[in-house]
Amino acid sequence: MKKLLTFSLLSAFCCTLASGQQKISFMPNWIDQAQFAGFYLAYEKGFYAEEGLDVTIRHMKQGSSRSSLDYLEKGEVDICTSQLIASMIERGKGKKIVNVLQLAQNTGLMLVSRTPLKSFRDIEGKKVGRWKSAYFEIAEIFCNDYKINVDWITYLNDVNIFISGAVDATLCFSYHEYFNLLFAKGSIPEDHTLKFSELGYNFPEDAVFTTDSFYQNNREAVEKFTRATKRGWEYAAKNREEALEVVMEYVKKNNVATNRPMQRFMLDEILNLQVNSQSGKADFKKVEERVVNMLNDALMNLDEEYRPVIYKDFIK
Amino acid sequence: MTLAASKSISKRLSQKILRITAAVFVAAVICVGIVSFNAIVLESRQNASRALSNNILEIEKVLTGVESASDMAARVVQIFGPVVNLDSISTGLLKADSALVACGIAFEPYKLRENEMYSLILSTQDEDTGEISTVKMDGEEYDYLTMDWYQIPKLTGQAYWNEPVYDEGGSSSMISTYSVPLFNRTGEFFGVLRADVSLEWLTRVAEKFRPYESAKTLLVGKSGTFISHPDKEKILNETIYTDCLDKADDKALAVCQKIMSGEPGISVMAFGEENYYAVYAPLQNGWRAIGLCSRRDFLKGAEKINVSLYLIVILGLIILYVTSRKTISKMTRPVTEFAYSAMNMSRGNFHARIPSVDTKDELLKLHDSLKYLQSSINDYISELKIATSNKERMESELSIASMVQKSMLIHTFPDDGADIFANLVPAKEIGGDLYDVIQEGKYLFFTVGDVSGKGVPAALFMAITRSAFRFAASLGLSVAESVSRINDNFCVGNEEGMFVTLFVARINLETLEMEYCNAGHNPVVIVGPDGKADFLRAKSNIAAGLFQGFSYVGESVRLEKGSRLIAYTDGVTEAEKKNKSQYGESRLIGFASGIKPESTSREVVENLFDSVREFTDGNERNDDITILTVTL
Repeated sequence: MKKLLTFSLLSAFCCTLASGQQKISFMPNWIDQAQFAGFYLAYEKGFYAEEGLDVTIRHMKQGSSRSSLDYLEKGEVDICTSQLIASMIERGKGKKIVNVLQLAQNTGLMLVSRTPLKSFRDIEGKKVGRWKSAYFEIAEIFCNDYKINVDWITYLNDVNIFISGAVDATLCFSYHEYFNLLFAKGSIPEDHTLKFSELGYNFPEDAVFTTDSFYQNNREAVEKFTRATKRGWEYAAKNREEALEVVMEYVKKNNVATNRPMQRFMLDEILNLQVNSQSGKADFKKVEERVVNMLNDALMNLDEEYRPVIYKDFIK
Repeated sequence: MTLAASKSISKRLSQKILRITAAVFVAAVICVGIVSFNAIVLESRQNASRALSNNILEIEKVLTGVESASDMAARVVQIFGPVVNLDSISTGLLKADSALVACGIAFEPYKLRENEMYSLILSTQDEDTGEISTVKMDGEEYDYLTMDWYQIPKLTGQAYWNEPVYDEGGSSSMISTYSVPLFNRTGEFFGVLRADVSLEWLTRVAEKFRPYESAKTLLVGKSGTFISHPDKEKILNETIYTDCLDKADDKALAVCQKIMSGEPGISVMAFGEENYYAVYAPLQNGWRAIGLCSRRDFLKGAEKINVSLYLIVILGLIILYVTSRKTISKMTRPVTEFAYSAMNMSRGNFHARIPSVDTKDELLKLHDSLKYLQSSINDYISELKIATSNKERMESELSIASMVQKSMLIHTFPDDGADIFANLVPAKEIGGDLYDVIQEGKYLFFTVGDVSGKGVPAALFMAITRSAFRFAASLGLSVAESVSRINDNFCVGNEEGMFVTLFVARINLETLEMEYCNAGHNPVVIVGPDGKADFLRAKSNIAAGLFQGFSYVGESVRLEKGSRLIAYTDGVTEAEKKNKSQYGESRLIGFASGIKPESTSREVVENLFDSVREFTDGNERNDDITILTVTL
């Protein structure tokens, strides 16, 4: 694998020198993990280089209080990943970001409770853990719709706060924090979980973003990037063990505390979330206008100051 | 047939004893094995549990020291509030416990300063110089408010040992933070005191768990994460459940959940490719200590005992088998030798040695029986030899007698004027029948007779009769007088009371007149030239030799040319089939009626013999048969 990395780097470097490839800096919205396997594969298999791109993958630091969209908006990276709703909120705040590739067609957001849940209303008045700044919006919309009041507790890490009993329940993603909890407890009974996708809140999730200006000035490069990224994900789906090897190389390189089984579970779930329920395959379908409008309404209900995004300006 | 065809009694008996004994031994070994196994497992378990408890105590000694110092510092802050010199509290705590590498006090937003959302006073000690420095962090870049060490004691209201993490400097050393929530006098939460402990010593202490050479220690955090593990790669990267979930091993998962339940105990747990006995117990701070002992080590004592037991059993069984085989073989050896002796005797060696027996048991009885059998056989054989010899001699003598008797009978018949032929077939070697033919000029004398009784006396009497007939014929007497003379001779000195039936005739070949006398004999068949057959009428006379002076009556008849006479003994008419039916006189007449005119006397005799033989159909003859035919 080291040889492969070296070879890839050398190839990219040589190609850049020879053909003047366009440099693109890309930031995933979390630390190294299988959630971004498609990007790693696109890079390692030379799909970006084949498109004439010199891509640099720049991960966030663990525990960082900044979001990837913040790095994007400040021009520190050209392209990043984030979630659809989080990015709509940021665009609503005036950040000029555009969605150039919708990866996850489904949401992996779920809630895990310490006690059995006979109904979703059982979370009423409970202390529920969530991330500090974003990604919990669907849960908020859900609670707002059903007039459920919960005591949101922000955390950096879901596991210890949950295991210690400091919170009654916690939000988590089915591809990441859920497995953290599972690996900490050994098993999680089905009736301790709520999946928002099964509650009628199955909104698209992970997506690729860039700024308006970068998109307008480098439209061709962005298209090349999204095309190569799709290839990377398609390759990962067909070659999961190889993809896992690449992920573990990245993980080890950056000293991420994880393990191979965890990353395998994550990769499988991430690929599941990319499957369009209508087509039955990972087709990276653009978000529909009605979905954006639906979310605009929901976000306005949540926050009066939210300014709805205009579909054609936001979805590319 | 050989004696080595199957397993010997000694072998079978030894094997049977061995099987029964082995079953008893094995049952005993299993019982002893189970008892000793349980005792040794209990001892091993206690041994491992003691070692683990010592290990835990050593770890907890450090941790409780930190807890005590931190709790005391926290109480000071709680009593005096933020007005106290926080720097001195922080540095004082750091100095108070050498295990600490950093201490700090963090406040709720705006609790220390009205304008400060973040207020953290942090004291650290330089590793090299030992110099303590204290800094105040009030920027949002370190958002401790969402961190475990702050959130959890805040939310639970209790002191909390945080899960270990690698030191932020990127080194491989771990730290764990003990955080104590701070409440003012009204019970309002206002901050958290934290004390960071370097865990460099932890692995070293954990590795002291050595109840056995190959023992290993695992330390697991409250969230299942490995804090100490022989495979460094797993530390903080994997949890106790990682392997179980990866392999979907529900059994292993249940064991791990039992360990994480917080109760001390012992279970069998997979570690790598091998199963280990896992002794586990919780630490006061919620971590779990697991001591792994390989089954081999854990059961070493039991295995030693079991191996000894197995060896004793195997050795015992071998000795038992060998000795029992040898003893039984020795005891049953005479039986084998008897068998060889019997085999030799069956092959004709009737003087085969029969081994002697020293014991006075069944073997002695067998020996005596065999001896008696051998003696009886030898006696019988001796008698048999004599009897056989006598029989052979008698048979030889009878053979000679037969030849002598046959030589008395004429085999060349006169052929001057009549065709005559006769044959005598005795039932045994010698018989009592007779015939004789004498031609004196124109007279043809002939007789057919049957002596009473059988065997040698009858044969001798037959010889006398023949001589008497010849003598009487030479005297020129009438046939009746000749028979009377023969009778008188026989009656003298005939103490045995033997007699003979006779048909005596004399034919004048010129006139064909036949004078005859029938002394108690079967009637002679006469066949006329026309082929008609009938019995020749004769006056009744008694057999010769019965009464001296009996006056026999003769008769005469003129025969026709071409007629035949068939004289015979009762061996013809009394010849029997197996069903006891006899040839009889009517069948004889029938035979005579069927004689072809051109047949010679020889042919008639031979055909009658064939007819009788055919009738009896192989049935054994009991009487002599004599047939004489005269054809004129």
